[in-house]
Amino acid sequence: MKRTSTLLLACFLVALPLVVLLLWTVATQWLYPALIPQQFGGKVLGQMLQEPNFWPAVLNSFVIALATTVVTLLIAMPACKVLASQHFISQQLLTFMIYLPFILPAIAIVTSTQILFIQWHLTGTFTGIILSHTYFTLPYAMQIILESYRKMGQGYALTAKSLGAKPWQILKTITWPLMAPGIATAAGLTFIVSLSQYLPTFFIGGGKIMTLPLILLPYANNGRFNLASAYSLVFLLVTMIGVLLLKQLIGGRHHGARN
Amino acid sequence: MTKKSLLFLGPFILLNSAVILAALFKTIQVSLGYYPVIGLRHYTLAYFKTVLGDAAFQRTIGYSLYLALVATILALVLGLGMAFILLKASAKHPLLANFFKIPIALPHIIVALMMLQVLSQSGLISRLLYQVGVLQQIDQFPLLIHDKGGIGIICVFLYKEIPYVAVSTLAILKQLQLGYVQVAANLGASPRQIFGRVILPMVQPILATLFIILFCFTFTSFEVPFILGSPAQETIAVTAYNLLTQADLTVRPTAFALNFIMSLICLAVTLLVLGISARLPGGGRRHREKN
Repeated sequence: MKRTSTLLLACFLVALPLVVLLLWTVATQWLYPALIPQQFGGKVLGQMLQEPNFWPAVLNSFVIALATTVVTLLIAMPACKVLASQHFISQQLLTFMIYLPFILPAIAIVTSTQILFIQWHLTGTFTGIILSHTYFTLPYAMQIILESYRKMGQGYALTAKSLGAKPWQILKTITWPLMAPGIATAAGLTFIVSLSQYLPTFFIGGGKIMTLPLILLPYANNGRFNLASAYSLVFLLVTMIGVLLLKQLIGGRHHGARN
Repeated sequence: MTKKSLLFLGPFILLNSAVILAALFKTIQVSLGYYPVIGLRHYTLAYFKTVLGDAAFQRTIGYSLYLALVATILALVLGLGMAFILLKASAKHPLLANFFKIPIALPHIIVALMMLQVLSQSGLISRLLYQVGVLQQIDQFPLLIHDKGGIGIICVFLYKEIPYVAVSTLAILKQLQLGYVQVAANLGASPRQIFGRVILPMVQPILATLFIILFCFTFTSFEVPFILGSPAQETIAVTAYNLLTQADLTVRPTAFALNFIMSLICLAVTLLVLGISARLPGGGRRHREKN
């Protein structure tokens, strides 16, 4: 009983700020000290939709996050395949290497690589932003994919190989279906992390490429609760659409293998 | 290592090392005063002396350390507590257990905005206290946002990190439940022995890993203190951001020295915690355990 009530309290504390956020998106008047808005309406949402930066920001955010997810998976999957079964590098060093982006300060990494990106003409481009996002999303994806590879083991692939299967056949009929749930989780997480990046988009994009966090931060900072809440709502919607889409594409269905 | 595995590892190593080495090289170069764009070509330690000797910079570093330590330790303690609760309650209330995990996926900017709406002087809690008669005037509500104690900032991190710690430690606790504790008790272990030889060795490596991840993140986090921080007391990342977004390029070497110092602090804390964890019971098994 005590446990249930603690869990209920925790969920209440999680829910309360979310409810307030939702109320602010539909409030047209909410003066102190009223507990609920005095007037409701869709004025704020309409105002947001008419902002010139709204649609570019939504599209840019979505495209960048999706491309980052693809690049991250393309880099992480082969690397994890090797790392899961290697004995050259000590386990400790390997973990340290993968987690280094979690340890080093983002602001230091972004502002100092900015100089390099300028030299390579990558600032202000989608390529530059996607590459910098990928650096930050790789540890999240690799952690999950490495775990999936280890759980699957090499047995299935080796059996198929000895029976004459070609590499792409092994990937299509064994590795991908067995690892799909893990890959889908990694892809979803990568999408979420990329979507919420502010610093790399701001410094590498040089303010030329608008994304949702770039609009949201100043609004939140200036206390424009209405618009900031509306943008937050869109942000969460884009997140959900992206994650569901990736799950659908990758095929989170269980092909007999459950975990 | 075969050619094929090198090919497979190549892109990962290339991207990671290119970013990290380039960052390191540029940070060292510029912070030591070599910045030809504005005509600086002489190596000097002056910028490091500025950062380390200046009272304002020292306060910034100290304040960031305080925020990171308080937020991280509270998140670990409360998160572990919630993990124990989920362990027993999540089977009975799967819906609640899943709802509790939502903050993990929310971006920090949105959570900062939500705390602004709940904790500020015109926020929900203040309104609630006014309605029940505790407050007669709005300014009687204590300053929890833009305050020197950084309450709002700490609340954002706790909101996001308690569920994260709970979920991360729950997997380990589930193994514990499989009967290690009962087996130890059956074999005559005292409660102290059970804690020291069974629970601590299983839980401490993941707690150490989480401490490192959370500390390094909160210590150098930008968005949250930018939105909720006190104008009188900046955190390290906000100071660096303010220096680096100025049109005046002559402040850049100082900013890069600050970048270098905060990176060193993160690395030092990481090595220190890993070192302590390796010497505690269960430390040697860290990687077999986790992987």
